Amino acid sequence: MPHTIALAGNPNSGKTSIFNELTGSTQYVGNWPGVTVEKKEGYLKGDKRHVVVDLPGIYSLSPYTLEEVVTRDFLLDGKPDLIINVVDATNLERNLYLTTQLVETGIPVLIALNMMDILERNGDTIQVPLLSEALGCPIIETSAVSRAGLKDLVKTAVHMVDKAEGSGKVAKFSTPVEKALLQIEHLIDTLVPPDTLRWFTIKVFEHDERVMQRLNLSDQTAHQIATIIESVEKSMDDSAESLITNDRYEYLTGITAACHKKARKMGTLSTSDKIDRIVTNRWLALPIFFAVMWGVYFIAIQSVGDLFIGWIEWFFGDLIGANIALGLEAIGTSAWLVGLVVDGIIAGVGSVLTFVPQMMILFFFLALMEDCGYMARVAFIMDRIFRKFGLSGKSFIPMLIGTGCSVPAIMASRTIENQRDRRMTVMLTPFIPCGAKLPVFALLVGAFFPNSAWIASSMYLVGILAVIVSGIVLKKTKAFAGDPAPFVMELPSYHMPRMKGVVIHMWDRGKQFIKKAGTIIAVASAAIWILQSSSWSFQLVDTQDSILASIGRLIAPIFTPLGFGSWEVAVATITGLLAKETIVATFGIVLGLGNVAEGDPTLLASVGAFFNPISAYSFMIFTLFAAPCAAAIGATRREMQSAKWTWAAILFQTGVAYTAALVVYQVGMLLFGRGL
Amino acid sequence: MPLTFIKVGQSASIKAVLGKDETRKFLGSLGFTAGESVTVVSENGGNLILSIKDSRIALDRSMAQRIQV
Amino acid sequence: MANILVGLVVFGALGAIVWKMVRDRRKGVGSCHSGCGTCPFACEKRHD
Repeated sequence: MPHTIALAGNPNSGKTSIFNELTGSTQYVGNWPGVTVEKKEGYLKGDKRHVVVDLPGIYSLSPYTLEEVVTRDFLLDGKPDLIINVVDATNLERNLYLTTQLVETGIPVLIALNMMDILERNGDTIQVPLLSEALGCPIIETSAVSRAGLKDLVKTAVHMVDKAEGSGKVAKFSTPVEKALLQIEHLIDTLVPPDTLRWFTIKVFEHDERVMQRLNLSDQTAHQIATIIESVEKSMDDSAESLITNDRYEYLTGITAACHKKARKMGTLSTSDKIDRIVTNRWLALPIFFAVMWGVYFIAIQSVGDLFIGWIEWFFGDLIGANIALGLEAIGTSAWLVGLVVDGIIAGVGSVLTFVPQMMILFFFLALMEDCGYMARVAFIMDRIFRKFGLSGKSFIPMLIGTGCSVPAIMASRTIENQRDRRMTVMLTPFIPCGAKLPVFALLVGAFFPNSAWIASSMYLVGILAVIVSGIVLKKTKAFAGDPAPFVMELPSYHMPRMKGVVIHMWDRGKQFIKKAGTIIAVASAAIWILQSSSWSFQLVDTQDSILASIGRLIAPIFTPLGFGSWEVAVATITGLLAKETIVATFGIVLGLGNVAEGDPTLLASVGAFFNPISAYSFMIFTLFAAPCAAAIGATRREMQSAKWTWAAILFQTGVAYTAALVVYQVGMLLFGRGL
Repeated sequence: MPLTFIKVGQSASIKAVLGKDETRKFLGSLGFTAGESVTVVSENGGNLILSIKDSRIALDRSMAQRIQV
Repeated sequence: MANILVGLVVFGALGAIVWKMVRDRRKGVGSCHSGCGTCPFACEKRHD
């Protein structure tokens, strides 16, 4: 049996970075307080005897959030041999608040004092030996960025596990509280293991529901305990749990005052605060946010990204496609098989990969904005707007994640405690354009609006606008009515982006995008090619007589009022359910990207035949809102835990898509239709 | 008076956090305890960014009103 | 002859992709922890 080492600490304390360094894994490190509520495991690098478990970032061991429940359950029931408590040195007192609670669980605690480099840069000092002495826990100074201290950390951890050393010193509370705790201790000491007695006693004193249920006290004991608590609360004129919090912080203030010297006076504004005064300012916040998003889209899609399209099309069309076709024909392969490979798979995959540079640039900027700390501010800015229609700014975090992919975004909604808010967030998150929808936008923008940068970035604004409007409407219905949940969130300090991390993040996402093109898109492309080249009796036929065309013609009339009633486009909307990139692949195959000699962006040119600028925009709107891809629908199903709600979400999304596209096309034609 | 009365850039000492629910407990663990000094960094439509114990905490208006200074 | 060879390679590759996707989904590892084998970014764990 391998020994277990648990990693615990505040959100954003650098826990995951340390986990990655210890285990050699490459988990993505985000720069906003916890979203994922699962724990992760990995062996110590080159050491199968020790498993490291990375727990969700938490502020305390009270069960306020799902993350705290997960961590707490693991510490109590998973019985780790050691806790490595990652402490952010630049926010010592708040981080040690958790430390004191970890110590109470009776599990040995090793402190990794992280971000020491930043502390030193600020001119602050911590007398580590003194702090270690006061807390009764060994402390290793670390910096996950420069990897300082990590070897020592592993060595000390392994040593502590082998020797099974005892835990640190527990926090001392004020005399009346300690007296009450002692009385409770005597009442429950037969019910819990001696190591964890202190922890359970304090939780009973705080009247922690879960702990009370777990102990299953007799009526008599419960009554005795209630009397003890009541008398303390009365004499101190405060609730028990607030007494514990205050005393705990007081105890910590005593410790840190002795060993923590700050260069900056309390109450003065740091550079980070000065930036916040501008970018979160009442009047400037939204204009700045929209300007930033516009800039990102302009650079990613219109200016820099656009440069690469020609090259990549040349690469797949002229170089790969043409040469493979020649090669296959030379060895005597039948025309249909050459067609499947070149006009099907290569055309489909190639048309999706055309957009890799644009995606990479977009991912780079999103990662940059997150890493420097701006994205977390956006949630704060949005809370003000969201609150107007009864949704908390907390709901905006899943939506920020949704700029990458709706699936993790939908899963992130799990941290929203209020069920109504959670359901609504799951329903509305796919309205934020995800990475997979981007190639569709880029394609149509490239074909119809090559010179107007606002078209692509407007997808973001339209998405957010739709979330807000839907929110206002849904809140009027009985299922969603109610006040929004309170919004409390820690914001990371601004810092210069760490280029290495940003590039890694961009590359990770880009790699996934390419991988997806090579797997699901390749299979889908082959299937689409077969469907568009054979009849119902599986004879090779002209595209116009194919299975795909007959299906497309059946459903095309539905889309005629939206401006895109050709069967090719109708089919693309359906294949888009598989994955949104498939829409682009479908165009690539059906429009015969593989056949035509490349050189100019043919995909862009041939798409032109099916739309006019207004119907192109209407199609973009439809793609933005319509039922998400299969994976996102699956995630919706898991989070809703109800088939009824899943269908409601899909119908709602598709309904919004249809209506919005209809309005865009009809009104657009009325206003600008004459000139087209 | 409630924290919402404090001007941007000014500091105050917390007297009490009103109410009796989970959110209050959460605020407590973030350092919102009696006697602690808090600075208002930014304000946006009643929502606040606060500086407390070396960290920045964003709060909505209704929460801020429950913090007495 | 060429048809059989090329066909074997092409359909073999496609089959392998599908098989791997189905297997990953079953195992619940997928390209991500939620067992969703088709989503590119689901593996991102926003943690810390």
